[in-house]
Amino acid sequence: MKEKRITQHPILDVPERKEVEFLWNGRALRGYEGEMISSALVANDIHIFGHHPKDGSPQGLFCANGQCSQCLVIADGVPVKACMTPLQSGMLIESVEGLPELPADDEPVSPKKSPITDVDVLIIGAGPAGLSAAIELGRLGIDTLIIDDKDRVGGKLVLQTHKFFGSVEDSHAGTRGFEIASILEQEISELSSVRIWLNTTAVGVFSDGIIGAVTNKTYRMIRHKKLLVATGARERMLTFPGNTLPGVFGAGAFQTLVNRDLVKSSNRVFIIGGGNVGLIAGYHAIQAGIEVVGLAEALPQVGGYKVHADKLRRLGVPIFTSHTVVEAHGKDHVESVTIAALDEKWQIVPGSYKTFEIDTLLIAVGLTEVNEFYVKAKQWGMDAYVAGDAGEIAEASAAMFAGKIEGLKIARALGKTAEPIPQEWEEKAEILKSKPGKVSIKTPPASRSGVKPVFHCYQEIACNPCTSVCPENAIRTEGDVITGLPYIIDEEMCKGCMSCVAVCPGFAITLVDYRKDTQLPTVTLPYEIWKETVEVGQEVEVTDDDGNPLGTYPVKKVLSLKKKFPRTLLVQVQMEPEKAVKAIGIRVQHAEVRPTQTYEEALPMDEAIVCRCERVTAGEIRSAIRNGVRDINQLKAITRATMGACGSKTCRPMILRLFKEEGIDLDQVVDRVDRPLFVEVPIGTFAGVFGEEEDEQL
Amino acid sequence: MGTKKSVEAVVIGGGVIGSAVTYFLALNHVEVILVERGAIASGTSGRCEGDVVVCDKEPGFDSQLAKLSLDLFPQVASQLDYDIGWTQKGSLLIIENEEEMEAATRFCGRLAAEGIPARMLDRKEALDMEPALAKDIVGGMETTCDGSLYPMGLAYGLLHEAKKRGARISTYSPVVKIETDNKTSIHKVITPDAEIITKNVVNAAGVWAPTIGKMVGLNIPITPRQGQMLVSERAFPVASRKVMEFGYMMAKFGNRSYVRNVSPEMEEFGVALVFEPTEAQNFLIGSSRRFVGMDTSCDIRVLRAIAQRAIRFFPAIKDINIIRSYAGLRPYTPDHLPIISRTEIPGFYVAAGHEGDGIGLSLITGKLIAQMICDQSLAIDISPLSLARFQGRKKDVCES
Repeated sequence: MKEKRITQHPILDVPERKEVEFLWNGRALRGYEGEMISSALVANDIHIFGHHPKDGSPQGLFCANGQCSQCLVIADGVPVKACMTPLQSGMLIESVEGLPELPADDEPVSPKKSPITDVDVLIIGAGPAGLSAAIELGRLGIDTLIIDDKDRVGGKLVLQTHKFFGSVEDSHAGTRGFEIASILEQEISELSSVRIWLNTTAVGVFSDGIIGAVTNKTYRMIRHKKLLVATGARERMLTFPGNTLPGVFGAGAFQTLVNRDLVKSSNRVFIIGGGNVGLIAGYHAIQAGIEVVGLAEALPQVGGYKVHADKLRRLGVPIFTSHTVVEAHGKDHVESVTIAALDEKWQIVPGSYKTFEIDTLLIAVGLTEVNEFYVKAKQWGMDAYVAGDAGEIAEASAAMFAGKIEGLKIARALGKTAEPIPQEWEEKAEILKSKPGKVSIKTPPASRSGVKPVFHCYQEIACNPCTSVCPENAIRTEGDVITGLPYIIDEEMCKGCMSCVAVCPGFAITLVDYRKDTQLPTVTLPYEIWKETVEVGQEVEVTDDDGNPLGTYPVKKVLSLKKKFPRTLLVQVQMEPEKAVKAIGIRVQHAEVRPTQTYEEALPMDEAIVCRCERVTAGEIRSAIRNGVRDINQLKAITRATMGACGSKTCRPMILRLFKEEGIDLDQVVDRVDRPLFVEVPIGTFAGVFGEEEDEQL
Repeated sequence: MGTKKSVEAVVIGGGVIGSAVTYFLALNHVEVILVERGAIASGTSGRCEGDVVVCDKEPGFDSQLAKLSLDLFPQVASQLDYDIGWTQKGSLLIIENEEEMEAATRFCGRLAAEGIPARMLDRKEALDMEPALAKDIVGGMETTCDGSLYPMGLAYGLLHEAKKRGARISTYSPVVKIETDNKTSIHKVITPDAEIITKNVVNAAGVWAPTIGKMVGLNIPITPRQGQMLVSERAFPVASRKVMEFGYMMAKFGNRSYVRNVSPEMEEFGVALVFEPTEAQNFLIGSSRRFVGMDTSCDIRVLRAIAQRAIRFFPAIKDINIIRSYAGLRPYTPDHLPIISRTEIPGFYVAAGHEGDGIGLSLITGKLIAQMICDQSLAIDISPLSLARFQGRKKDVCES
């Protein structure tokens, strides 16, 4: 079991957990008590959770987020989502094979009155947006309840091991995501008017305007005056043959396995999508000791921050721009992936296929708003607000700011404050949401004396931690705007404290110190991978911005700023001056993985699955579109796509994309009608025969 | 004004009724256009179950009409290119107590006398047939001929076939006006995009039929009667046929003094078990009956009562997830019978008001209307279905 667990991590602590035994299809296995069943299974190298009753295809983990309804298993006789159900000692877990037998159950039941809770403000989602809003509301003493379906607060912050970009003053830039979650949680714990209910899934909103939520099989009704929907986003999927093989999953699912549950789910991953999510997932993989074979991005350049892409390149990950995934291969699990180059017209370049052997394919092609609660609440005429990714997909730093703003708006609407929304808040929120800007490569400082910070930060993004840590106050951003590139106002002011090197979320600052040796200056490089690979005396391959090797050098010293940035190693090597100013990375993946075969067959693109729940193929959808269907409800009636348990959460964006590919303007397409419930609920829970009686409080 | 067209018949309404009328007209070589305000099957036909049953019909004309329609399905289903999910697994009415047993026995005898294959089951027989049923039931009534299908698929399948035979379908085309020639014949059906000159108009607009009727000065006493449903995920097979409770029918149509042992909510919302396993290996559970205007939003109090009633009869479904809810509007008439009728305006026909029987009665409705338009002899005497039967009633009071 140990081999599929992450037992040490450069950033994350590995907590002591209680091992328990459970049965998987009659086989005794071990897992950790309270971890999600899916994580325990993957840690035991079990990736097939069942087979689809329609076509027998293997089913496994896909979203790891309670959204996609693909990871169903039978636990103690009851069908549950493996990714949302905690493991208990002695659990009998079985795979879903076709249609299982109904357990005999003839116990008479009597429905109970479900608990009803009244709050002034209900916030759905304890991620960065929801928590930030709650802090604003709590400061004004407003009665606020936050509900979240996970067992801890922070939303996707808890999956983020890297230091955040954004603004130091407003969004904890320079602090790691999971640490920001703790900071926000701490702030909230001091606010007496804010309550948090964890493990509580909002499941629907009906015409009475009361939010239905489920905690441990109890159906709760939450009446509120104002609703803030801060439900975040879900990952988009791509339409390609093999896209539902176990081992093909979202980058967020991967981060959940690796960073939250410390499961070493994979040995070799390939990543599709060069946005920040894909780039960061690659980085997290390497931190977890997982090889990243490559990353493909359909655009001619990566869409995420250049610094994120540069970090990956320097570690030795090839990035294939203008490339797309064409097929995932494998019988019961993904075994290899084929990518191909795209020309300017988005067509595959003949003969450009490359196939890589992998065990995991991560899809990171963007996010979709989880906004069904908001849309429905608005439809029912409720006073609903939205913040974070649920409203507009952006960085977590922007979500925190949006939460703040919406929190204050709600307080105003409740008449609890007359404080206007500061104009600068709105402006900052816009800046934090902005896409990465232009790239301008700077020439390094020419002077070879003293100690110099070298900024390898070339792209305008909203980020300013370096300006806040310099004890000399010598670092500024151009134009003093948060998106400006950093510079030192006077090169002589640097005393070599290394704070800027350690704080930079993009690992884009080094120090070149000529004070001891002008011929072989000492370069301080930031490093957050395994410290075993950079022990003093060890030879490391140092790279430039783009990951090109500059040479191999022995490590002279490994430091860290213990108080503020204990996990960021500051690795010092001595290099020739002309190379020292170019040095920025240390390569860890040495053997580049080469394509194993060429691939020239006609692609079975129509075999790709669009609706996973009902196993509807791209071919069926395309054919309906070509026959004139312009209404997703009609498409549903004809093909059953969108009709499954997930409620079209995964396939709807894919269907809309197919419409576009078929040349249909989305304005002409009638969207589906959302019918609550938005999340599956056991009938007994819904009926009120399970769970607690009406006695308020959790 | 838009394009001008001329056609033999215009069918208003793209639900299963309008689709069936269009299908039978096309089979009879009648040049027809179907106009629909939204998408096909986007009204009640997209918010219902797929029942084709005789078991809950009043023995006599009502059951005969249902049986005539039911008997058309096997053949039509086999002739359509599109799989409408037709299955004929029968239905089971469950009986909760001795009083119901007595009434059911009489009812069953009358149905059987009509030639309907219905029979009584004792407790053991009922439980053998559907082992997941609560063990405290008293018995059941099985009707072997009953079937079910995928309602939206039925509309699509019928129209697909009709199109092959020359019918035209015009969706997102609400009828804004119908011009008559001094109320002696139909002249024009006007939509935002087209003026269609025709001699025959079939009002198959379901709960919207009164609006269409008004355009030609006819009062059509149809009221929307809302029903809500829950949809399960695909999980354990629970029942292999449609299961309903006899007690509700008894309270509704038979002995009005009979009161079921149910919660006040179930009574208030007219909640009765309807359990329908689908071809997609999940199931639908209903039902409720309320007059709430054109409101198709779901109400948690109603849905919970439905879930509670389902668990009372199928205790083992407690752990199965529900994934969705929906509400549809049954086109209700005061005497529970549909209107399949000529009207005082020659060439204006009504095919609406099927309440909860629209799917089951769709084919016979389509066939009868086509026979009327083609001047053929009718499959059954339909005087009980005439619009004229409501004339003289001053106010059509809704029961609830």
